[in-house]
Amino acid sequence: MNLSYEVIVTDKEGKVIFRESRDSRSWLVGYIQLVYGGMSGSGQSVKCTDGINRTQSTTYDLLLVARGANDDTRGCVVGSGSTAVDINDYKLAAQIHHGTGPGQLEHYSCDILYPPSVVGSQCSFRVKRIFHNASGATVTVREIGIYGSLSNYQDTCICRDVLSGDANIPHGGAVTVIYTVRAIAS
Amino acid sequence: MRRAGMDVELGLALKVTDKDGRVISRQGRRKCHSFVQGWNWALSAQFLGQSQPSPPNGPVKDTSGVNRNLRTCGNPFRCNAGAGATSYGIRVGTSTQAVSISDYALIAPVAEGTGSGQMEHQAQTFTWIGVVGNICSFKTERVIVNNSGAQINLREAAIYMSVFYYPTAGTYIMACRDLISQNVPNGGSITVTYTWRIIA
Repeated sequence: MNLSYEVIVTDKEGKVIFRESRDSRSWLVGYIQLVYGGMSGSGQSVKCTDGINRTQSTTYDLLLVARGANDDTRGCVVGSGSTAVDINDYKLAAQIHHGTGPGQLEHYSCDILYPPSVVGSQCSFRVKRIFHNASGATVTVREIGIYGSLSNYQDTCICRDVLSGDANIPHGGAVTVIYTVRAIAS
Repeated sequence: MRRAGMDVELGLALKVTDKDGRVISRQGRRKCHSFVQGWNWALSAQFLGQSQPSPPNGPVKDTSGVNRNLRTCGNPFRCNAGAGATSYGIRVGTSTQAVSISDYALIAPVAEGTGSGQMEHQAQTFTWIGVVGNICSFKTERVIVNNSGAQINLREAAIYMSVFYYPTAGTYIMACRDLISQNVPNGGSITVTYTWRIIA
């Protein structure tokens, strides 16, 4: 199963000023713990984004990623940290939170673009979120990831990527993050 | 610029024993390329987390070949099948047909039992291996015994797992399918081990 991402930055007029498209290398321990718990029916102790270990759900609320606007606790997230990815990461190094204050970005809804599509030997779906900069100054994004649920109220980072270069979001501009989850049969 | 990506890597190992428990064939873990569409449908349903997705998250075929619209599941990805259970868990079959992303079931699954061409499925087990260096993994394993009275030639293996479809009912999808080549004598068994791992 392959993961890739695309990051697109636009200015306030919608002109694309930065684009990065890469294969991700960043599934984390949290993701495989959640899958293991679901498959086996035996909930794992998973480190949440607040650093506390909790026992995961193995029911409906497992691996929920979709999230509404104005909420930065779940779904695609962005940050300003550039610390190298470690398999034990459970949150972004320096998350950029929702808001219009200095260093903040407005979080639109995190959407799952479904149903999965089959093309050739691949089946894929996408996770997408737009972040708008109304902070009054440039905000720099250096890391992206996905927070997924281990229960109704708790989340962990299931994947994290550090961008190859700074994505500078000018005031009035926006950054769109799209992860593509792909199953490949060969 | 693109770089090589790291998949969630699926490995498959096989061991065949005769009626005395002696190992007569072994395939060490090899990397699979066998996730089929069912896995991504199940995962997308969980990511979405809706009980009544609109538009529908479907249709996709379950292991019975029936088109379903998937919803968030009460026991997502579950495949901890008990002894004798064949609706989910690790399964084996006898077909050599090439794997396709659209496969939704084994082509020629071996049924539970001791009749001709049948095998007895033991309970599936799970082992959390955890993080070793930059690798995190677990494995799941099932022993399937041949008391049919004759040799059975196995040519495919798969994992079936649970999903829910709208409005609320359970069914099963196939997450992966692999071609294998192991002959199990009467009285013998095959141990199928799938290893899931990620490498940072």
